[in-house]
Amino acid sequence: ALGQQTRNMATLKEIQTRLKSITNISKITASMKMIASTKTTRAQRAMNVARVYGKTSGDLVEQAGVQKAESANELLITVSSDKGLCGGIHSSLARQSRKYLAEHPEAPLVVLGDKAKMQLQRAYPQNIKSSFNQIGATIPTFEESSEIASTVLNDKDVVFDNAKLMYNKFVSAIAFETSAMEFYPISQIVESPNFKAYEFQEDVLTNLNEFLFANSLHWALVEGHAAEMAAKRTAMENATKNAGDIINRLTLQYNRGRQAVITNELIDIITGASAL
Amino acid sequence: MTFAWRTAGMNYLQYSSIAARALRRVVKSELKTEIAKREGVSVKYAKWTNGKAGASAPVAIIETRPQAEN
Repeated sequence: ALGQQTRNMATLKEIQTRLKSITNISKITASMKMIASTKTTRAQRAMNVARVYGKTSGDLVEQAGVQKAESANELLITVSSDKGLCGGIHSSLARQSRKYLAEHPEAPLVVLGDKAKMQLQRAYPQNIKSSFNQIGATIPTFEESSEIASTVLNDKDVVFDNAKLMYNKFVSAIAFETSAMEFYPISQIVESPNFKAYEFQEDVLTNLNEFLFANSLHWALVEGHAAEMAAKRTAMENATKNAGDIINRLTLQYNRGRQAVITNELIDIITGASAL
Repeated sequence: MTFAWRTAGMNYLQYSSIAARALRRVVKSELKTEIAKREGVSVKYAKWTNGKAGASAPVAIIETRPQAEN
């Protein structure tokens, strides 16, 4: 009986240690949730602004009635980030990207963000033309999107007409949806029936093409960032809730264990006393 | 009618970046704190060849002369 008591004491110590560490974890996840909440509100505001610019390019394409050329080269750009602890954000992007690459095995790939890069370099390393990181810590500025777009456009090894931007669309504070944004080059917009009616200077069109590309990329980056912050908030909220559940369960177990030890000690004492 | 900056080797995005930077430099000091966040690119870029990543380097920005002290 003494041996069992010591063993129970040891288990009690273990439970106590676990309780302490889980309480710490729940404090950390709770504070991470707070931070992610504030970041989400700010990111959402930036997203609404970026959407206006992005929608304008979208409207242009729609009004012109653009058709994708049959033999067009399409570039896949996966817009993710470097940071984790945000639920299914990165794996969803990687899954959709892999699906696209399975259907278009020759397509060039540009990856934004380390998390997606790690997943995609395992499956399709030969398709990757370039990767960018140090993304996702702050709300993307147009300067950043512009630099990324400029680097991709200047890259001689990446030849593309159309681009598909795989990003996470912000559906609501608790839901996101991985979607593909289409980018149509100016060469295709110019061939569209409604555009053909007008005269244009070649140079201005090249400028517009570059600007539209940066615009689309910026929209994908900002909306992706907002979706990620919201997902992080939800993930941290769930983590805190789960930690709380474990704390309750362990506390009950601890108390029951403690009471068992006391009861056993009492039994020993009483049996000992009655033997006298 | 080719733009001068295009002949010099810049693309439209680099050109508008420089113009935006110049504009930010002449903003009055009270508003400078607000707009400082829009500058400062720290994105890193790595070129991949044959399934292997090359060295990572900061994205190329065209440096402009720092603002002259009055």
